[in-house]
Amino acid sequence: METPLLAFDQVSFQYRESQQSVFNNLSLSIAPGTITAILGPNGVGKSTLLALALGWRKPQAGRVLLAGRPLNAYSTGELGRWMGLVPQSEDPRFEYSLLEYVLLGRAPHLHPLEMPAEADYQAAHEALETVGMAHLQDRSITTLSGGERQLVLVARTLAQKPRLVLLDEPTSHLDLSNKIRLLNILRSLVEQGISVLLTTHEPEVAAAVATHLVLMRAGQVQHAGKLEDEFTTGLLSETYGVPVQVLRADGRRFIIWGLDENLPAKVNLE
Amino acid sequence: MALLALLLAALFLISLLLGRYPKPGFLSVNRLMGDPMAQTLILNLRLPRALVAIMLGMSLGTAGAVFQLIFNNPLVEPGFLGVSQGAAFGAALGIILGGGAWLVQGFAVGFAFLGLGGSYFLAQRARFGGWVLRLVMAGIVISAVFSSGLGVLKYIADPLSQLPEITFWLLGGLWSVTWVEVRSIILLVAAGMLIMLRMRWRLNILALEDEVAFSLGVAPGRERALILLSATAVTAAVVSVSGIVSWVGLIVPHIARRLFGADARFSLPGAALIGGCFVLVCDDLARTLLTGEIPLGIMTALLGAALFSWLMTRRSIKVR
Amino acid sequence: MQSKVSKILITFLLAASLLAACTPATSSPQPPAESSPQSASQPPAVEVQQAEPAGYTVTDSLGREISFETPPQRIVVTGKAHIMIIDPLYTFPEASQRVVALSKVGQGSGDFTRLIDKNYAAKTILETESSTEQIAAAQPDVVLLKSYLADTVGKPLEELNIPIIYLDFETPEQYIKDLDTLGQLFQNPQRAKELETFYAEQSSRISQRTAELKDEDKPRVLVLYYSERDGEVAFNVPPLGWIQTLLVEMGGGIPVWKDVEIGKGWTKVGLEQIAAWDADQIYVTTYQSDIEQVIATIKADPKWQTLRAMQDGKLYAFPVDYYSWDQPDTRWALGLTWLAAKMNPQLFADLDMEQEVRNFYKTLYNLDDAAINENILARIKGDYP
Repeated sequence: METPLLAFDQVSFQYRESQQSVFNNLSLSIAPGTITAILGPNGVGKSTLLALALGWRKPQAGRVLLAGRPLNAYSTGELGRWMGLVPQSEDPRFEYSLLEYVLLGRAPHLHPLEMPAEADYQAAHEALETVGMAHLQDRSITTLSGGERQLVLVARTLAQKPRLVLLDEPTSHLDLSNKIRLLNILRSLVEQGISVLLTTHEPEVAAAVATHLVLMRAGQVQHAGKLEDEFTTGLLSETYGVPVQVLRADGRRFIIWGLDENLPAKVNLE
Repeated sequence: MALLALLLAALFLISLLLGRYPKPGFLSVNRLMGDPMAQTLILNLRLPRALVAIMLGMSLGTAGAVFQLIFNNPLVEPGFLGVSQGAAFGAALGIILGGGAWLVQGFAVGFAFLGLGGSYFLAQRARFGGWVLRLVMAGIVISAVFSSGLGVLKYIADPLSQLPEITFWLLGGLWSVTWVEVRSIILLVAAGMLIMLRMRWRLNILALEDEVAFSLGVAPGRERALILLSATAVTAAVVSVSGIVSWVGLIVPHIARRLFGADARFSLPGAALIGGCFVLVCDDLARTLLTGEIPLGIMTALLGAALFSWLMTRRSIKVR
Repeated sequence: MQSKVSKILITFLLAASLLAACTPATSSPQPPAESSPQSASQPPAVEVQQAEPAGYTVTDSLGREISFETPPQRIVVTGKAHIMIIDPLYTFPEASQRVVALSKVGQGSGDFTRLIDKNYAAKTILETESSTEQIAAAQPDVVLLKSYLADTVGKPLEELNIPIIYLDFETPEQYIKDLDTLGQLFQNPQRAKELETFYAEQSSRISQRTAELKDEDKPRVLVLYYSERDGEVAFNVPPLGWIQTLLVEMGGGIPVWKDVEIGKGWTKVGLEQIAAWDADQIYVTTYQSDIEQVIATIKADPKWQTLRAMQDGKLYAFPVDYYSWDQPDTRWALGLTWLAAKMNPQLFADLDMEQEVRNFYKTLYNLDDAAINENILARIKGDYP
């Protein structure tokens, strides 16, 4: 059994302000070479889970392990070289060019008083190529659409050369074509040996790209495991609290939901 | 940027020849050659004064740019976290205790840091709001405390010898700057400026969301503290010899951003150079326009306010 | 591009540090400091005084020793409170020739210096707060300053190796000492002795008569300075070390404010405190306003009319000709005489104030009777004689 890339070991966490505990004795492991989707309705603690994974928030009890070592054994810089976070959205404050914006991702490889060098510019360029935006590298980021900006954020994280990419609701603001584009990129990362952990509240997204699934509901991880095992009608309906239907076709999963109580038992394919 | 550096060098040379000796205006080279008083004047008074003026402008300009970036607020000044008022209080205390230049300066720097520390301390204990809001409010409180302390000191001061000195200090002025003052601040200013300039690339990351900055391997709390400390150190150092000079830290970063964009990699050195030019010009005017010294703070406020309102009324302002 | 900029800035800072490190430190204004001045050519380094037969040394009020080869011909007086230097300065006949620049006068009914200095029109008048360069532009051989300006005005001037003589002229003791200093400066010790004797006599003849008085016989006296700043009227008492307080004590009175914590400068007091002191006599002075108007205002004020001193008719205005007689100006001698006579009239019945005034201006400023009549006596306001 390989060491999991990331593991939660009996983690309990609550925010200081509210006394409500968000996680209680949570245990979870992410294997290397996987795409794990954390699925669940809004407000259930998905972003908190990412924050704990990143090391940004510290659990009150239990530990988070990265490649078998607890997070606090790593320096901030090291963590930045292992993991990267693609935030849900970002409002760039200056007229950065795309290349310059992605260049910011080289920070974990630079000392606080250091400035980026030729090698860093090269890495940034490669990251932009991976997301297919290298041809726009001198455009100002403020001129891009939301979807394109999201891709740039991914490129920035890639410039970090991390082993694990964390994404917080990466597709919420994207239209269909950009969504597909982004998810394709995520799939290609695994082929390069980079694991992915993303949160989403859209089951389709998980179905399209994930190899593993973590189902959350009300601050608890209900189920976790391979996509094939977990992405089922019963479990999803339970997670969301509304009736849904999961279809299997050609070895892939699709989800159907409708406004009526009764969902079709038969499906006509167009 | 290179043009700006040239401009600064040119202004520096001009400043050496400008003054009220022997008449208001420029010193001719002939006069300079033949008159030892002129030579002494330039070497012992104008040269150190011009250097300090440039250091003052660079420090306040760069520190102002740093503060405005970190606090994401175009209206903050380097001294606002209790640093200016702390320095003022410290200097007044030094003046009243009858100390020489070293005591006054030392106290100014010491209390400036005390002001910053106090603001940080208070902000940590605050219960609500994001860290920016907490820090700003703490800064207001600490500034108010020092400001009222200053009022008490002014009341105690000897009105003949001490009070005028305190008052002049509060308006800012470089009239008593000699090589002693240059030596006393150069190390701190050089170190602080170096750190700030080297960190200017990193500063852009610090301006992002804390969690994102953390994910980029940057420890936001620590690194912000480092650069704020450097900014405060240079501010305290120059304020300790010049007194409170307002507007420089506020307006110079704006001009730099207008010219070079908001990216810290360019706006920071830009602010340094513009600040140096601005204060040099203001100081030249302050000591040449009238027979007496106009307090530097008045000059920078006048010119600064004029520049600021001109900037405000120009179209296509991107206030970010 | 970025690295170029940092290189430029680093170079600048390094150059500045090198420059700062290499330039020699100039001496601080602590005694003993020596410098050899002459009119024009002077190397900037500080030199130790050689035993020059023609030269001489002046010791100033801070104990510093300043040496001159020849008596300086270009004397500049500047800084605040300079009438306290100018007026004693002009008691020496050489002053008119050698003083080349002085500051504007901020009080009084006219420029007294204009009266006593024939060459006044040719002199440079400096603003009260002149910059160092402006002072240097007057090409001084020596600058006279009040001693408390050493750290502020004095320091940059010393950077230019301009000799400075610091003076006090605040109390009777300092008068003796500083007149000596001026005597050294002008190389006129006889004149200095004359003046010192004059002042010593003025003091001693008063103290001789008041020595007999026992404390309970001395009048309880209040001296108030009426100030009007920014429209706010205030009455102030002087600190215990100032000449106003000393005049009262020397003149045979008891200053009622002796027990109160006074600050280092004029301290505001309210009417309640004034009433609480219940002084036998009240003396009012002012520097910027018209003393007769001030007295008139006070006497018309019903709140003041309840004071015992008022009711007894013992509210007096300090006399003022060009300047008022209560301050550390040369006229303090007149102030002392006048005050003593007013406080204890029984001891000074034989005093003729007019005679005193004539004697004063003749001895100190060499004015003849006609000049005194026209310029001094005609001008005096306040409770004179």
